[in-house]
Order: sequence, then C-alpha cells, then structure tokens
Amino acid sequence: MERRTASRPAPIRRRAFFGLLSAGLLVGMVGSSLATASPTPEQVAFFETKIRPVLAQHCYQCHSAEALRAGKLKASLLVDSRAGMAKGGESGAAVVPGNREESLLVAALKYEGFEMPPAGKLPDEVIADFETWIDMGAPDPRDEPLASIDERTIDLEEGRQHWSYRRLAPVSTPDVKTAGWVKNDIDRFVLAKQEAAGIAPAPEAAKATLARRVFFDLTGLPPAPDELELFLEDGSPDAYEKLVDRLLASPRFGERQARHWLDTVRFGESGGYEFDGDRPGAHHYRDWVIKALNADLPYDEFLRMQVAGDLIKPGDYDATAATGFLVAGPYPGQVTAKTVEPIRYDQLDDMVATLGSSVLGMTLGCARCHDHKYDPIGHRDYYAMIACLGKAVQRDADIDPDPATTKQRRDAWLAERAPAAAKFERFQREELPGRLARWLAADAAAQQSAGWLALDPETFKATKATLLEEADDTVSASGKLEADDTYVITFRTHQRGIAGLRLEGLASPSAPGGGPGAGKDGGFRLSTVKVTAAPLVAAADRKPVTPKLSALATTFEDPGFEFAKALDGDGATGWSTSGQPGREQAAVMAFDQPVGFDAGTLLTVELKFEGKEHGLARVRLAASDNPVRAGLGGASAPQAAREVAALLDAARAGGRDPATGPEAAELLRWFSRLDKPAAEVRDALAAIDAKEPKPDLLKVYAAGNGGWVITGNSQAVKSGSQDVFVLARGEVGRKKGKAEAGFVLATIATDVAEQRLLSAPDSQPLSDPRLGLASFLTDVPQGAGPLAARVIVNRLWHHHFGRGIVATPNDLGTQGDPATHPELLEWLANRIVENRWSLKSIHRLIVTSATYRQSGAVSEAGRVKDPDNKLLWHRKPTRLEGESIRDALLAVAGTLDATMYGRAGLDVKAPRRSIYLNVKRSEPIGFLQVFDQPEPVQPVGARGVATVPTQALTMMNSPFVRSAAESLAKRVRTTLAIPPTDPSGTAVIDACFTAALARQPSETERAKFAGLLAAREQAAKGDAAGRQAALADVCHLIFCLNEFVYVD
Amino acid sequence: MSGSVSRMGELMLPARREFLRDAGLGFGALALASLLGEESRANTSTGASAALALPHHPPKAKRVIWLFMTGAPSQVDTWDYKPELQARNGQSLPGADSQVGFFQTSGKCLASPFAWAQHGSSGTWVSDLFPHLSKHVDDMCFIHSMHLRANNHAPAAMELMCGFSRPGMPSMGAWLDYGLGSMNHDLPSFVVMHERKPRGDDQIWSAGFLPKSHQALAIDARRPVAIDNLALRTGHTLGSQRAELDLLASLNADHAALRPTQADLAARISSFELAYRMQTAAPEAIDLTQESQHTHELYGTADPKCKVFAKQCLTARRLLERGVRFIQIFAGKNAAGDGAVDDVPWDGHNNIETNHRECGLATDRPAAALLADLKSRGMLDDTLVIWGGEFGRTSDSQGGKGRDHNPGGFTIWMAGGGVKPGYHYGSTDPFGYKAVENKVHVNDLHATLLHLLGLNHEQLTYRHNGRNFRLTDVGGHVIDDLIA
Repeated sequence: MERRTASRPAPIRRRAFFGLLSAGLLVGMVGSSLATASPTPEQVAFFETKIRPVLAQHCYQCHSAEALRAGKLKASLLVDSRAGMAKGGESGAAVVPGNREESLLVAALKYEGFEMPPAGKLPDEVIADFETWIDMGAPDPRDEPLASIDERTIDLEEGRQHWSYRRLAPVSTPDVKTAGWVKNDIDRFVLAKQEAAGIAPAPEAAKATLARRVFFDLTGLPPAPDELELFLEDGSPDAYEKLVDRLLASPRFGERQARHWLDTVRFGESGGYEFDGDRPGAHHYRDWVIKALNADLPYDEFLRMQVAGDLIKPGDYDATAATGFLVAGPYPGQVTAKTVEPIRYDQLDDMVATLGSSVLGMTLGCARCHDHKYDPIGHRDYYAMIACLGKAVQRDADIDPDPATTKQRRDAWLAERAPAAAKFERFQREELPGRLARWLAADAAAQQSAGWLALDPETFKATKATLLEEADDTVSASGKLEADDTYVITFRTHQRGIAGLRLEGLASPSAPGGGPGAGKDGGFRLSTVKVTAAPLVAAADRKPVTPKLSALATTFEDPGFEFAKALDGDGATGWSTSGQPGREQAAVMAFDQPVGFDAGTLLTVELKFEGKEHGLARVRLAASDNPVRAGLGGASAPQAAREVAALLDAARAGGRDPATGPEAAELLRWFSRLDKPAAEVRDALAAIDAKEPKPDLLKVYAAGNGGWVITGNSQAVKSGSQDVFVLARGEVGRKKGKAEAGFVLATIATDVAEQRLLSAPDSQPLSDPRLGLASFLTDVPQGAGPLAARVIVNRLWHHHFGRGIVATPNDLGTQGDPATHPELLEWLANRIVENRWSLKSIHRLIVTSATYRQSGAVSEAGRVKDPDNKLLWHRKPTRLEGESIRDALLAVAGTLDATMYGRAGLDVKAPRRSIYLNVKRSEPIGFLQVFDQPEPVQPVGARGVATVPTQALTMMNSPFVRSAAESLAKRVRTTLAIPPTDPSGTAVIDACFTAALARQPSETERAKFAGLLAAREQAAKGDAAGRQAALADVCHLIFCLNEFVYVD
Repeated sequence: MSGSVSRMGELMLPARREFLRDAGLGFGALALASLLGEESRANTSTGASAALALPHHPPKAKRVIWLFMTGAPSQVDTWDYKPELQARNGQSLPGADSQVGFFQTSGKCLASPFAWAQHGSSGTWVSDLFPHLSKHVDDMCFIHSMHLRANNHAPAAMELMCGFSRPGMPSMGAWLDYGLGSMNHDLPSFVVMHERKPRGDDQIWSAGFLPKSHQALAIDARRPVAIDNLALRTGHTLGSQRAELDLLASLNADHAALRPTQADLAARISSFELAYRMQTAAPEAIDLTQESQHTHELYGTADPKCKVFAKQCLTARRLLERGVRFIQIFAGKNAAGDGAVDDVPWDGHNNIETNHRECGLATDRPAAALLADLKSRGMLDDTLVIWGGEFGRTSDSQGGKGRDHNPGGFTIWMAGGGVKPGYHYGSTDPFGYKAVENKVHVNDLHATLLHLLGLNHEQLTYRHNGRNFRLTDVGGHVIDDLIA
C-alpha cells in the first residue's frame, strides 16, 4: 500500500479550490445560486403549503394529466406542472412570473372574466397568497415535463387474457385410463397428465406413513401413540377419511393453518423500525384467525372481516380483531411533522401490497411509482385501491369480547342492588327528616363557635411522595421523600364566603427529622401555593376562580424566606423554617375575594416545593370566612356538622325538602359521619355500588377510521387529512390530484362499471369505499372473486404438497411461475366457490385424493421423465417448518401445554405451541429463525428451506432439545414401568420410535440404538440418573434423525 | 426483468432454482461439496458459487469490515474541515433548510469545537478526535459527498446497509454471501458485532427474503456466550458426541438411500459434520488469549474507554483471517447528557463536543490498530475497511451546542481492498452542509463496493414476490475514480 502511495502523484485536494476564494465571494456565490437556479427552501415551503394544496384540491380535477387521461380535461389547461402553468390553456399563459396583472389564473380566481373554481369563489386570503406567490416570481418546484408522466398505456383487454385474470370458467374432468386409481376428481387431472407423459403414480403409502403426513399437514403435530393406534386398528374402508374428519375438527387444525396465513400477511406484534414498540393487543388478530379457520368461516367472509370488520360490525370483538390484518405491518416508532406524510403513504403501500400478494396474488406494490411493467395494473389502479383504504388507521380499540355475559352480570347486579336501593330511598323519605331535626336541636349549635373549619381531604396526590390520609384530617407524606415535589389536595365544601386558609405543617414521628419538613433536619421550603375553587355542579354562571393569596401570619419564618415568598408566584423563592425540627408550624393566608358556589365547591390546594429543599411531612388545611379573626392558633371545628348545617340552610332558603331535594346526596354524605343509622343505610348501598360489574374490556390492536395516527413521536404532530392523492413517481412532493376510490380494472368484469362496485343496491355511494373493497375481493361475477379463489386454492395445494400448482403463491400474474396443472387449479377454484368458500372442504378434497396418499416410491420412468416431480408421480419428503419441529418436540416429550390463545412470550422454553410465541420484529426467536421462519415484514407465500449447520448445532446442543429428550426418556420409562436401576432393554427403543416417528424401528435400527444404549448404561454403572441420561441420549439422537424433521 | 434472466444465465432457470433451494445455498451447498470430498471455497467449480458463475470479474477485495459509527458522526467535526464554518460561528447558515434535520435547528452556524490539523503526505485535515487514526490518512480513501434519503436512524441504517429505508430487504453482507458463497469450512460468512443493539436492530443486518442460510451471526458483546449452542451438553465429550454422530450418519444414510430424489437429505447429513467442526473452530477463532500482549496493547483491550470496541476489532481480525467475508461492528460510546442514547451513541443532539469526544475515545485507537494490524499481516491489500455512520449532522446548531441529523452530506472513508489510498472524492458546500460536488448516493457506494468484490450490481439479483430485486434497487453507478 505504501509503495503504491509513493508512486502516485500528490492526491487531489478538491477542497483546496474553495480555500483560494475569499469568504465574501463564497457566500455571495452560494446565496445567488440558490436564488436564481431553483426556488429557495422558503419559497418551496410557501408553494407547498399555500399554493399546491389549493391547486390539487380545486383545479386538478379538470386541469391535470390525470384529467387528460380520464377525458375530463377542460380548456386544454394543465396546472399540475410548472411548464403547464407557463404554457397555459386556450386563453393564454395561466401564470406570468412577477406579473399578477397578466396572470390569467389570478383573474379567474377573482372571478374576473373566468370564474374558477366553478363551485365557488375561494376566500380572499387564498387569492392573496396566489398574488404574493406570483410576485415572488411564481417559484414552482414541479419540474416534470409537460406530458408529465412516463406512461405505459395498459391494454386492458389484452391484460385480461392472462389466465388468472379471466372470469371463472367451468372445467370438465379429463378421462383417464387407470380409473381404478382415482379416489376423487383431483386424481383425474393429475393422472391424465402422467398418462400423457408415460408415468404411473406411486402406490398408496403405508398407513403409518400416511398418518404422520396428514397429522403434520393438518394439525402441525405428530400423531400421539394412542391416536396412531386407533387409526392403525381401524380396518374399515373409510378409516382414513374418518381420521381426516377428526383432524379437520381438531382445534389444532386452526393453530396449524393460521401460521400459513400469518406468513402471507406479514403478521407481527411490534412496530419494527426504531424502538420496535410492542403492540400488546396485536395477538387478538392471530387468535381470530385461528378461531375463524377452526370454525371454517367461509373464505369470502374471512376476507370481508379482515378488510372492513370494524365497519360491518362496529364494536364486535371478532370483527374488530379481524381488521388487525390491515395494520399488522411495521410502522415507525418516531414520527415528526416532516416525516408523517411519507410514512402514511408507506403505510398505505404496506396495506395494499399485502392485500395484493396475499389475496389477489398480484404485485400491486409495483404500481406505486408507475404502471406495472408486466401485469395490467395501472398507476391509477394502485391509487384507486389505496384511496379505498384512505381512512383506515391503526388504533387500540377497547372492546368487550363478551357483551352477552356483561349484560347478564349487570342484570344480576341490578337485581341484587334493588332491595338496598329501596331501603335507602325509604330511609331518606321516612326517617331522615326526623333524624335531621333531632340533630339540629341537639348538636348543631355546639359546632358554631370555632373560627376555623378543619377541611377533610377528598383526594391527595404528590409527584414523588406517597400521600396518606390520617386521623384529624391530616395528610402525611411517605415513600419517596425528595426535593422538588408537588402536593395536590382537594376538598369538598358547601360553605360560602370562604376568605382564607390556614396551612399547618405538623410534627411527624415517621419523618427523618421529625417534621414539619420531610428533610433530615425537619426542613422544608414551600415555594408556591395555588388555590382553585371550582363549582361542584357546573352552571353557566359558575366559573372556577383562583383567588390571589396574601400572607396574614406565620408561626416562624427564616429571614428572606418569609411565608409571603410562597405566595408571590415565583418558584425560586419560598417559605422555610430552619432549625425548628419537630415543631409544628402554621401560616394563614387571605383570599382577595371570598369563594364558595351555591351548589358546593371543590377546593384544590396545590403546594409546590421546588428547588433543593424538601416538602412538608404532614399537612392540614382549614378554612375560614374571617381568617384575621380566626387567628393563627384558633380552634377548628370538624367539617361534617358545618356542612350539614350549610346544606340544610341552602335547602330551606330555596324552599326544598333537604331529605329528597337536590341537596339530599351531599347531605347524606356528610350526615352519615354524624349519624349511625344514616351511615349504615348509605354504606350498604355503597358496598353494592362498588361491585358494579364492568365489562372486561380488551385492548385490541385493529384498524379503524380516523386521522392518521401519530404515535411515539417526540413532537406534537397534527393528524393528517383522510384524502389520498395520486403521487407522481410515488413521491409525496409530487401530488397530481385527489385519488378516487376504485379497483384494479383488469379484475373487474368487462360489462361492470367500477363505480357500481362502490355503490349500495339503491345506487347510493357506500358510506366508505373500504366496504366496496371488502366485497369486491370475493365478488365472483363482477369483481376479483375468480382471482381470489385461484389464489387461495393454490395456497392450500402448496401447503399440502410443498409446491403450489403455481409455484409462486404470491404471484399469479404474468411474471409468476406457470401452473403445472392449470385445469386442476381452475376446477378447484370452481369447487371452493360452489362450496360456499369452505376452506375445510378443499383441504378434505386434497388430502383424501389418491394423489396426496401416494408413497415416496421412485419409479424409473418418473425419475427420468420428470425429475422435479412436477407431475406428482410420487411423494417427496418435506421438511417441517420450525414451528412444527418445536411443537413436535414438545408433543413427543409430553410437555406441550395445549392452552389456546393469548401471548406466550418470547422464551423458546415456554411449553405452548409456537404460534402463541410473540412475534417481536427486533427479537426473532432463535430456534424458529434458524429453521427459516420468515421476516414478518413482507408477505411470504412459500417459505425458504435452507440447511445450515446452526440447525444441527441447535438439535445437538440446545438445552431446549435436550430437555425434550430427557422428558421423553422419563415418560417412556414410566409408561413401561422399568425400575430406575434396571437396564432399559429394547422395548424403550420401540416406544421412543413410535412417539417420535410413528413407527417401529427396523431390526438394524433397533440393534444400533440398543448398542448405544447398552454402552451408555454400562458406563453409568447402575447409577439411576446415569441410566436415565443414557436413555435421554437415545431419544436425543432420534430427534437428530433426518426422518424426525422430514415427513414422508 | 427478462434481461436479467438472460444475464444471470442458469440461476433463474426454474430447474436450477429448484436445485439451489433444495441444496440450500451457502452452508448447505458447502456441506454438499464437502460431502463429496471437495474443497469448498469461492471460485471453485463446485457448489453454489459455481452455479451462480460468480464472481463476475476478478475481485480486488475479498473481505469487508465495516466499522459502523452508530448514531451518525458529524462530518464537520471529524474529516470534513470547513474554515468557513469555523469563521462564522453563530452567524446565519446560508441555504439553511428547515427540512434537513429531524427536529428543529437554529439556522445558525456552529463551528466545530475541536482542534484541526493536517496529517500525512496527503495533508488531510483531521480533528483532534482521532490522534491514532490520523496517522493512517495516507491509506484512506475519503468520500466527502455521501448522501441518502432517510433522516432518522433506523430507516437510514437500513438504507445504508440494505439499499432501502424500510425493513425486510437483505443487507449487503447477506447479498455477498448469496453471491460469493463462503471462504471457509467451519465459520459463518457474515458476522455482526454489537454491544447495545443499534436502533433498527436485526433489520439492519437482515437476510430479508434471501434464504436464511445467508443470515448474519450476531455477536453481542454483553453476553458471556458469543455463539449459541456451541457448547456440548453436560456430561458430553467430543468423543461421545463423535460416536453418536457416526451412528446418526449411518442411520441417515440408510434413510437417504431410500429417497434418492431428495438432495437436501445429504446436505443435512453433512451439516452435522460441519456443526461438529464449528464447535471447536468457532471458539478458537474468537479466543483472544491467543493474541500477544503487544497486540492487546495495540488495540487497547485493557483501556476502559475503548476496551469493548478493541476486543471486537481484534476478534474481527481473527475472523477475517479465518475466511469470514463480511463483518460489521456497531460502535460508539456516548457521554451522559449529550442527547444521545445507547443505541445511537454518536447522536450528539445536545452537545456535539462531549458526545464526539467520548465516542472518539471509544473508537479511535482500536480502529487505528486494526488498520495497522491488517497492514502488517499483508491483509489490507484485499480487505476493505469502511468507516462511517448512517448519515451526517447539520452545520447549524440544535439547541446551541448540538447538531441534528443530516442525510444531505456526510463523509465515510475506506481503506485497503483496492481503493485509492490518501484520496479525497467529492465535497460538500463551504459549510459542510450538503454534498455538492461528485455526489455519491448509497446505491453508488454499493455498486462500487460490489464491483471491488468482483460483482456486477445489476446482475446480482434475487427474485421475490414477482420481481428481481437488487441491492442497488434501480440505481447505482460504479465510481471508477475511487478504485486504485
């Protein structure tokens, strides 16, 4: 390297060029080049905020390239590019930079000559913006050429000729020679091709082989030994069909098939990008998919719910959860005003690209920037589709999953409450007046002498400390006793004319310094006091007030830290009392105006202890109508009696019955503190009221209509508009006018108008185009139903044979692989539509076919003529997916927890099925990832199957696999009742084989494993644990066999 | 797309794809090759590399190590000296654009708080953050005009490593493994090292839609066990495991013999052999006790300020020696209160001085040691070292002393591996704010890097969801000026 440097001329230093120029010259260059060559950022900002949106909203409909294509262009005027503005229309230039007089656009906006927009004159300030902009020189960043977009005109008729975009056509089954092999019509299609190629199908697989295959395919689990035995011993001719029906009815079926669907819809439970925030309610969607597939929800309904469940059944748990489909994609964790719009378009792209791949087998995402290069998908179609989704955003919906039970519980509670409520009312009506009268006569007068009213705290909260109410109406601080705290305490009262408060800082044995402050030396510094009086009952003439406070008296104050400093509104100054540990302190403050509303008052007292000093350890507040007279050390009366008196006065003054009138509730509240029978009857009702049943609301991560959701941002970002614009080249800065809702035209029947699919039967537009989209997808006569049917039956085929009839399940377009059996695919598509979109009916057809039941036997003819087995002349072993390998280990070990639904966390050792493990985008589960679990960010139709040594390491060394081996060993030994110190013998090997591989070992295999087992047991020398480990070694090795992960 | 098919020759033929999928590219194919008793290395006539007919031309670099300065270092405080910015501290920044940063910036110039001096015979200006690296400027090839689209960390890191600012795309290391295969028997080809995971996590080094055999091995500096499942289970020895594996191989061979059409059964058999070897090879490869005291001192493995990165760099050198092709280390260490958080240590929003000082101390010495060490071993000639973060920072201030994100212009440097030494390419404006001359987009950088490794970026494609994808999407030009 040094040698080369030496032989090279001195390196070029481009920056030296700038060094020669004077600073002034440089700055001048930079400034002027920006001003002349292109608009300044400020000018662009002006255009983007003031000009473009107006043009897009009011003018593009008739004056844009889009309008031109739609045949709606008026006056040959295009205002969606700078060049178009300059060229103008039939009447001349629309804009003359710097000259508002000659700019016809301004005249038209002012309704001088032309009247634009025709719907109504725009506000004057908008017109003024246009004048300002023209005065600036009409800076316009839209530099696309006049015939702006690089268009590929799609020939719709030609595009529709591609097989997958055609309408569904009936298919007749072909004739075959070896009809005896045929079990159902599927086999005719397959056999006809084989016969044409001169290949014969393989014979049916052995029963045990077939059992293991169909168990894994339908349920993702191996057959348990008893289930296997049941099937093997069933000699009836339809034993296999009965097994298939059992498996289709098993809850394990949905758990297995849901995983396939989740792959195609990029399901995840976190946002990805930065922070990868969790979505704790996202699993409801996964649970719904499992439930729906188990219930054999018709596929059209299955899709409708995912696209628009929230609109079809608002508030319904299942329908809401289903819409998790739309919003399952990644979403940034940090959003600012600058990025919110592009992120929104990315989100819409994620929704529509997923919809395209998973439901339509179309690469819709390719049309975001331009017309699709190969398939008949227009740029216009893409924006029509995202416009259907324009209002859909993610949300956490509070949903009652079981409203019927909630209603039952509420009805039961109401029934329980009725007698207590009746008793309460009777007491109020019949007994309360007399008791009040007796109380007034006996006790009321005694309460009137004290100058202060001790306030009984209603609520109390501190920023740091924990506040607790104690006897004597005091509130004490404990827990985090730190500087810089704020206490907020509220009180209810019916007193009028409250003119001041007394604040007491009391001694507190539990505080480090004994009080009154919470500091070690008993110190505190009260920096700010704020009092607010708000009406208990809102009314137009009752406005909350914040009286100004002034200091009247204090027990003690440090020089420079007088009580008045706590009332001056300056948080930097305050009241403190140093060197007074353990001594109670008090301060009296006066209001500048008396407070108290006529239906009661909520007093809020905020005490701030800002800075480095502590708060008060124990406080009490009292109110007075005359704080000067009541004095610093004056006596205080408890609140209840005074409040009862005040309420009685108020009722009497208004001529109302205190026991049943508007004062009654408050009156009872206070009176019950003074009167035992009142307390009893009130408490009895309160105890029942406290039990009022609440629905068990779930937070469901779902789609819903609203403004753009802005989450996780550190700046306030306004939610955006629900309008969707067509973007030239997919760039947010190049809007071409509002996008109208619609569909991919090539998927609509030729004689059907797009708008009809967006209308209700009465021809009125649907309330939301998303509803139209939801029906369009499976609309067989008019919409994309034929395509959706072909896509889903191909997926089911793919999952049962390891390869679809079209090997690219996410792409049935012109760039996808050609179908190996196109007529069969068409026939299956017809079947699912006829079978009312029953997925289970197609599963059943496929797995009961002779094609599916073939063995792996290799024929010479097949091997030579069709080495890739495209004609399906035998069964190729397929490797289990990571989830099935893990589930099989748990099942064989006997440790699988069959609980359904919910979140099983991120720990591979959790004994739940893999589908319940969390899908956190930044933390893939190692075991599943190593076995090709796809990234949950894009739709995946066919998983990769790689063979890597980390898989072998996992099987050989991971604690998870070892623990499964140990569990199996234990289980087998227990079942066979072999004492711990006895040799295991060969029976255990047979049992392990049956559990793990659904078959007995061959003689050779038995001998080989017996050899290993004997050697290991011998080494253990009668040690029970050692013997057990030896058997675990055998189990472990069985798990490592190719046969364990490859299913024949 | 059809053009690509013909250029890619056999790769895109369905039968060939089927074979590659069944054989499981990369490790699987290697395993297959080793099963057949053949040498498996790139450019041989066996295995996946041969099937891909790659490389496309003779490579100048065989290995890459990317020192990823997580959180984005400021160009005007590191390698892009701007006297104009220094002279106009606090004055309005000409052309200040409120759309550049991620948050809000002042529009006022913030002079670099660091001392600058010229180094080497190239006279390269370097700030005093890098007393060690500045001794190597004559080996470095600087690009001062980098730019990309995303202006936040995770999307930008994805854009820089995967070519797209959204998740799900394969990163460069995965593409290289896909295109070139492995150069070793018993170690992965693509290794990532991090302490706190960078913002964006695994998405930055994802294999995306490529087969999982191309995924990175991530080594977390905080974990006592570097690689999962390498340790034998309790009570097991290599001897007892060998006995089991021999038994396993014979049983699996019997099983495979009955299923002659299934190629990956054989691949899986040999994957156990490869795994067996990895158990000893991998721990040996990352065992730093085998390095001399002198080497440890050179890297600074005992210096509390930089020991994490020092150990990572030293480990990386050992892995490079053993045939690992692509290594990426996410590096940096922030100071308290500088506005950065652990997953983006160079992110000096509040205080560029304290932040970059700390990050400099954490990275300078080990990075310089790596250059010196590679050079002394003769490895720098065909090892490409890259230093850079996900974007640059604003020339105007954020909150007085900090700088905001700036994807519009930043500096990265490369060394070794066929790039021009002591060379400066492209420039930002006089304030270091935006790339203006010979601008280099991420796609161009990727095209150039692939070229150095012997690959044509337009021909390295993978078909996914109906489209042939490239690391460089639909852009990218090889910058010949950078190549020695």
